[in-house]
Amino acid sequence: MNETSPMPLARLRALVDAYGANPERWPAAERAAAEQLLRTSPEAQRYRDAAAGLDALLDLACEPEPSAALRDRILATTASRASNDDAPLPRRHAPHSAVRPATARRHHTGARNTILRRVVPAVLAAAGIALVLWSFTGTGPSQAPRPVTVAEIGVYDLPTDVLLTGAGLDLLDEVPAFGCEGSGLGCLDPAPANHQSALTLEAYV
Amino acid sequence: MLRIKEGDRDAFRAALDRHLGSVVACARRMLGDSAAAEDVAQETFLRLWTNAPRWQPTARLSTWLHRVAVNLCLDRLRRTPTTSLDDIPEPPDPQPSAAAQLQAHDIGRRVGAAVAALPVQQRIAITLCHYEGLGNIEAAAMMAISVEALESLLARGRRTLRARLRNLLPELLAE
Repeated sequence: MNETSPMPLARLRALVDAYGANPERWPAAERAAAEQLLRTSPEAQRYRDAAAGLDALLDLACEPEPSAALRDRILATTASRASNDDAPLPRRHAPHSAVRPATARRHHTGARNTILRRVVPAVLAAAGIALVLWSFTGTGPSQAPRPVTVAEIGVYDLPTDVLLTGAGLDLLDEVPAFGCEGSGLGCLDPAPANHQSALTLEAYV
Repeated sequence: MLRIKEGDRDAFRAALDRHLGSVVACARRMLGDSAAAEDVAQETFLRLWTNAPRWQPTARLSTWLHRVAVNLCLDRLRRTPTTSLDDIPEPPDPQPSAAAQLQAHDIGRRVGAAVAALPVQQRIAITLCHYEGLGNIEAAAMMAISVEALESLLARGRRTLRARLRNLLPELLAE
């Protein structure tokens, strides 16, 4: 039914019987025709007024207040969820050590031996290759080093960092713990304040 | 909501205090059972907390909460056999002389009881359209029925309520 068609009285009665007297609750497509009929038909107005009485009564309906125990139960349930995987995600730019899941931290120490088994041979191999190349080209250590192309894909603190990246390791997070206790050994700070892990940032993109 | 999204417990507690009553009321009208309504409310707020990180601001928080509660109620009702009309207890029928002395809260409580005593489908239809303010198309879709069937349920439900409540406030329900 379009807005220009007059609404039969029976249809208006059916409308108010179902939806009540408030035009906002009527189907949008029939609202204009119904209001037009109401302006001219005393009988239509009587149907509407009768429905308004029931509407007013329905609006008085109240439900019992929820128990205090329910509120406490909800808070307790959601608090227990705050520490598991369903908890809201941490902020993207939080300090690196803070965003590591607890389970990952537990595995950190155990992973160091595996890392060392991967890194040490790689470092030795790289050193050997560098020595051979240096001998072959005759490039002396006094000359300025050429820029290394692979270094441009990330930010590295030490030349061997690129080997860690190649193995899929996080430069800042997976640095070996022992052998770095003393200063001046060329080891990375395990949690440097002014560094960000490139791998971690990629994971969030 | 943004604070809840970031895991702010105080913001969640504030939302709980503000909306818990209306969510429980909505669920109770749908289910006609206080204990089941509280279960639904608990699940609704648990979903708010666990889904907050994925929240998209497409609706007001109150609207979202009520939609979740309504859906949980419908799921629950679908899993339980439909109550026979004969099994539904009649609401208390106050004496006309006592009705005039009822306070507003008592009237509201009795109206709530009358709504809760409606047959399930009529109760859901009236809850969705009258109390939750859904349009007829949306309400019919949620109930998986036609708009015509929804109108029929609404009309029958209102007719039943009118008959049951006529003694309560005759001046409001004059023919």
